[in-house]
Amino acid sequence: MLRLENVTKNYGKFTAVNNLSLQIKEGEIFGFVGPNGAGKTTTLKMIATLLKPSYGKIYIDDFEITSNVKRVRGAMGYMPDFFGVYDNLKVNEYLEFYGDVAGLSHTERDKVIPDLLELVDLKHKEKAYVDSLSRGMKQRLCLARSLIHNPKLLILDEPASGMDPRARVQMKGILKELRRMGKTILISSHILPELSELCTNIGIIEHGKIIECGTVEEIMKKVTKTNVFKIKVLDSADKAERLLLEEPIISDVYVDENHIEFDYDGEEKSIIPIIRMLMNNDIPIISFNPIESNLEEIFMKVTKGEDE
Amino acid sequence: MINPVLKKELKTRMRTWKTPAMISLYAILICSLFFIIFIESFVNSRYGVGFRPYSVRTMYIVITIFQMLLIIFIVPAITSSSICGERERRTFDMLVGTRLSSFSIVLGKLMASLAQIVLLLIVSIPILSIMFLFGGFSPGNIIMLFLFYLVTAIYFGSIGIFTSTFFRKTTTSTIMSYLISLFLVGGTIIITVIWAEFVRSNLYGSQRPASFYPLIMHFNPFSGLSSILLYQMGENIFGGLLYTNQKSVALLNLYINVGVSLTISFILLFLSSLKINPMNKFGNWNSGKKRKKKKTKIK
Repeated sequence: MLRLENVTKNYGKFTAVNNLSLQIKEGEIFGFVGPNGAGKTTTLKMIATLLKPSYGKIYIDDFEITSNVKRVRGAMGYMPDFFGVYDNLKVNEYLEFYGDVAGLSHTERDKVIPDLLELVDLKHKEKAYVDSLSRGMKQRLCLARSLIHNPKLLILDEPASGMDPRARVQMKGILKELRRMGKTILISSHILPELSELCTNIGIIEHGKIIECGTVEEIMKKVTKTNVFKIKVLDSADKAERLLLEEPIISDVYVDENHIEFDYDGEEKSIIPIIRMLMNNDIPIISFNPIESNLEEIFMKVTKGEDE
Repeated sequence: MINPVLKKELKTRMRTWKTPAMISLYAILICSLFFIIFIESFVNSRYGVGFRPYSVRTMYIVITIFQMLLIIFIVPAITSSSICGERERRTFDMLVGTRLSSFSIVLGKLMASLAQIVLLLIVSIPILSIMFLFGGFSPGNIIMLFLFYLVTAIYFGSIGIFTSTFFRKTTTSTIMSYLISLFLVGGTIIITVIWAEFVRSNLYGSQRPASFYPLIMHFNPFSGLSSILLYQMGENIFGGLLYTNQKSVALLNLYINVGVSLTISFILLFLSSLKINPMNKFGNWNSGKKRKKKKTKIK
């Protein structure tokens, strides 16, 4: 569906995107993660035909974007991170305008607008002026705008930025619905737990380069070389620490009062004899559970977090 | 199908208080001028109190010039924010990222501005029609004049749109479009005066040209207007500055002026459409200029 081949974007001497290659298959939801200034928005703008790459090629549906602009624009919808609205235009008129601009006939447009307003839960605001809507509503309206011509590919740049928790949940619900509809979505966001819940694949970008790419599980495996396990004991934490350090598969043990965390190599089942050994040595275990890495931790581990 | 940008612009512009205010102000200004000239011709009549039909001629010339000045003054104000306004409002990306061609966007913006000017011209028709009561004018005169106003509006509208695509801020764009307009109206006359003075002081007798019309004057819309007035009234508003008192030369000058205005308009609109097209090399020419490194002071 979308293919980027060695894409580079230079602004004078500054390189915003550096030799970036990426492939997104149809129906995938690809999360684009990276610190501020990493090149996420520049990449998305290049895909959305709003910036011309300095080098490299971008293909949407096997069409090279710079030479098939009209066709490509018809196949994708773009929602920018910051956007404004027209004053003195009502919600339905706003969508009518973008419907006209997308080349829809009046019949098509009038058929699709009520459905879109239903999807983004703005049916009750149909006759309201766009500039009177809340930020969350404007974001949803902008999403509806990007869907007006029924694109196969959706490019969403920080769709939930600046939203309150309720609006964010609503947006997440809409994106899940779009996933169910089979849309291919490229989404950049800072709200990492949401991305890991939604996305089939993740790409981590820093200094204009993709540094990790794959499913959340794949990246997790690559990044976290050891597994972490946590146990809580009633007492004898020092004795438990000593016993654990004697085990060859355990590399590190951290004790915080009655909580013990340890890193171990190997599969999950290799933890069973360790628990048994602790219990045989009269360690009063209250609870135990593996600690799973989340996208936020992966992001912190992978990126250096330097300000540009 | 009507241009979607034009449709949207008409809808949004007509909903603001600015449009009716502008129309009212325009009508008030023209009516006031009409009234002043009318009263003046009554009071200053050499043959006692009464209206001289000849003063209708003056009235027509003064109102024609005044209306032209108003158009030159209003059009850049309307158009100079058309594209940079979209940038400032952060709606630009969503507009150029659509399937609508860059030229259609630019054309839609121009047509929306022209629609407002046409509205102003329509408002002035009943006022100008009062002059029909005194005779000496045909509807053809007014039609010719209004068509020329429309060409001038396209000319100055294109300048406004051009500056609004090349400058990111509305203020800069407006200032630039007014400077260009000022040059076209006043600057060309100043150059012509200097040139005419040079011709007068250096050429004698048969060396002097029978018809004097420097090329630069064809860029001035008043050149076309003076040609219309010369053709319709036999009056040369540039006086002794330009030696063209023949009606046939006047018409030729008018055609050249209209041709120059429309050609420049097309070139400016075309360049504007290239500039707003992000996939065009020309469209990205200054994209790197806005990036400036922030310097942080170390205390």
